[in-house]
Amino acid sequence: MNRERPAPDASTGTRPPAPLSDERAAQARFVITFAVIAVLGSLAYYYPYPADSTAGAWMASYLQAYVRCAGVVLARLDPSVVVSGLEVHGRFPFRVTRDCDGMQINILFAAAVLGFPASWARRLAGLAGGLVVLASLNLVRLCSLYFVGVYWPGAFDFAHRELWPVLLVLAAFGTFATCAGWLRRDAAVSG
Amino acid sequence: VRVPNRRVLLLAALRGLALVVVLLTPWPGLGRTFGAVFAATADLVLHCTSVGGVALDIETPRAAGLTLPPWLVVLTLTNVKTGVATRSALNARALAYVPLAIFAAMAGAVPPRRGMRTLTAAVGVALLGAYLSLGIGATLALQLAGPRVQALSLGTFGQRIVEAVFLASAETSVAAPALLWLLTLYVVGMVPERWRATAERPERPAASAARSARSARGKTRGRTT
Repeated sequence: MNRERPAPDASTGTRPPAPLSDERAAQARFVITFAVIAVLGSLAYYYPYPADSTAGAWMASYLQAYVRCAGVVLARLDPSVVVSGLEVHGRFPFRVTRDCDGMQINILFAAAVLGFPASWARRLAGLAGGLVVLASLNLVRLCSLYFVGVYWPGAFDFAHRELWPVLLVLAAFGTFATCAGWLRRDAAVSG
Repeated sequence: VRVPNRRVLLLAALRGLALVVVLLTPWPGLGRTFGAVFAATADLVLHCTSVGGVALDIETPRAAGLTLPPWLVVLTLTNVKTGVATRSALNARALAYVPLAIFAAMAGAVPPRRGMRTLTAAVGVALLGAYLSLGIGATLALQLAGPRVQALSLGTFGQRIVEAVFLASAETSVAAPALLWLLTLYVVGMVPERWRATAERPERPAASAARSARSARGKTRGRTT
């Protein structure tokens, strides 16, 4: 079935609103693409790669880079902080594991952006920008959790398991909404 | 794919955040009450359930004769043949309360359209129930596959996925209910008009006309200022 698309408005360069069935189809495509990318991304991330495999080595070095970044920031705020492997030593020593990097949120954000109907160049640019924002926020989370552990150890579990996940999810929604608004402009102009 | 404007999103986010703060505050007595409700519901579902010759039983610490912090309930796995029992604590807050609170906060932040609330609530409760059952089932599966019981084998990959998706990742227990609510709105939005009309009484014409008049006045004001 081949349906004609409405022609762009000559004065604004934008297309008139799509018919309801087209919009439903676009929404369904978005939901399905989002779900497929999110599930495949999660499976790829959580797969128990052997430590001596390429993926395992890449995963370890990625986490180490994360810990080193957190260590650099923390060492400026607390000179007693020293990073060793995946562990941060100081007044509140902790170990960064695979679940501490906020990757689940990154995967969901990536799935939403990649599934959004827009040009690939814009999607990739939006994805890169959004991931930088979310990764930076996760670094703030790691650093803040260190100080929560130092000054309010009783609140650590609440901050770690409830407060920061809510903030990260909210940030991901906000980043996606901003990104989608930008992608939508592109879709409206290019069709 | 339509994107709501920034003001609408900001208001929804603020409403959701306020609801999350209220719902996640550890009010006195809430942990024990929710733990008791959780244990009673789980016991109702798991009553007489046996996996690989192991009987499952969930009860409150008080019923088990233990003293535990609020929100914790006791899971007892009993080998039906030998009678050997293994006990462990389950966190009802992480397993069920937080996802429920996030789902309720999302429902308050992004409410369904008038005339579709019953249908939306039914679909939402069904989806959330399925998600919570999966999470609780995954926890029980991990306990059954543990070295002390070994009534079930998940394999390394299965165990890692179950741990990561349902238990270790706190972000998932927040993101999943929020996404489930959006999925609920999407699914209900796909329901054909004629089914919606039978599912819930349509809006009264007077209320609808008053809203149209308000909307028209708002548009006129927007154009002149």
